[in-house]
Amino acid sequence: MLNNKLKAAPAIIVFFTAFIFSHPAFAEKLVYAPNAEQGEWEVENTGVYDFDPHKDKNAIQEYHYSIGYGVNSFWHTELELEAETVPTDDSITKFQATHMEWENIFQLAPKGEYWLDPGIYLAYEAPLINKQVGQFEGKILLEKDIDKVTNILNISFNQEVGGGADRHTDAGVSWSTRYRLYRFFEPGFEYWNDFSAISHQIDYNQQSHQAGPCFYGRLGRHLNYNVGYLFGISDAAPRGELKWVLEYEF
Amino acid sequence: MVNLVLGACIWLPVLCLAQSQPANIIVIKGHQFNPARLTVPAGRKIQITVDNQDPTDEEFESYDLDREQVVEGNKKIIVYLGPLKPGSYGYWADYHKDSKGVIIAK
Repeated sequence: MLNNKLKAAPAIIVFFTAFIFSHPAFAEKLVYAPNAEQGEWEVENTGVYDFDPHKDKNAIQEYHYSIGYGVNSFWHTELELEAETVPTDDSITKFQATHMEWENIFQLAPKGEYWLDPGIYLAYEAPLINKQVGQFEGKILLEKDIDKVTNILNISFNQEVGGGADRHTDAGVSWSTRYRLYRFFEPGFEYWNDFSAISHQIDYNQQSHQAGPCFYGRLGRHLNYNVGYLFGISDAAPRGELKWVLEYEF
Repeated sequence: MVNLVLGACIWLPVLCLAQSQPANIIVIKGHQFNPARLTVPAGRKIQITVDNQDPTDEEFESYDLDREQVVEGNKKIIVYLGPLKPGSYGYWADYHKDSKGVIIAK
């Protein structure tokens, strides 16, 4: 089995390199399932590209490149590089790596044992740029299959750390529903929000709320995809956002 | 005595529940599933023990059932399913794709 995985290495390197050097690439706007698959490697590329009439919210891009491994049947760990661009008055600033992240997903029970499948996500994001701060992130992961419909809820908490960090803990929710129509094509939708700081209640329109159609599937034996378009449904959110995830499993 | 009563209160329902679950076992040997066709009750939660008697790892995978679980060599796992609608649900061995089986819910 290991030999088969080593044989796949060149393909994975090509895949990874292609997405690092081609833009727009992929970014990480991913609703996490509470699953860990023992012995499985994955190379993943996720991304977002924002569209908005306001210059300061338009053409914002964020990309994540990661490699992960299922250590056992209840722990999946992942190392991830985050890169982003932001707009300026004259042009898009240069694309640069901003954070390195260590992610962990803990599956708390075998799938299907309880009415809800529970999991926990814990991550630390270390800054690669002086002016940036680090961040701890925790998520409660819940999944419920109803016949061919898979529903996943993530409840997120973020806390910045380091000099200049915001002391307030942010919270957010993301939701994914998809219909397992075919293995290669599963239509669905996602909802994302960022409530901002838990301790400060702010108006709905100051919070970011997005929702829209998404499509999921597996192409061939190893490649999973997820692509969607989220509409901004509050003032703080961009008018539209293209999001995508590509994952190569081996 | 109190401990005995308390223990009985806790364990009896558990044992009764365990008794009510028929044994659903799929054995992997020579990279083949046995039985390749397993009938289970529809409309209730079930457990299937997948017993890998090969020395190598295998993956129990099913798109119909939305399951992907690795079974290490010479080990067992429990797959929790249902309640299933009546019908047939295919599964296969991800590391030996020609090895397939079906679960019939009645």
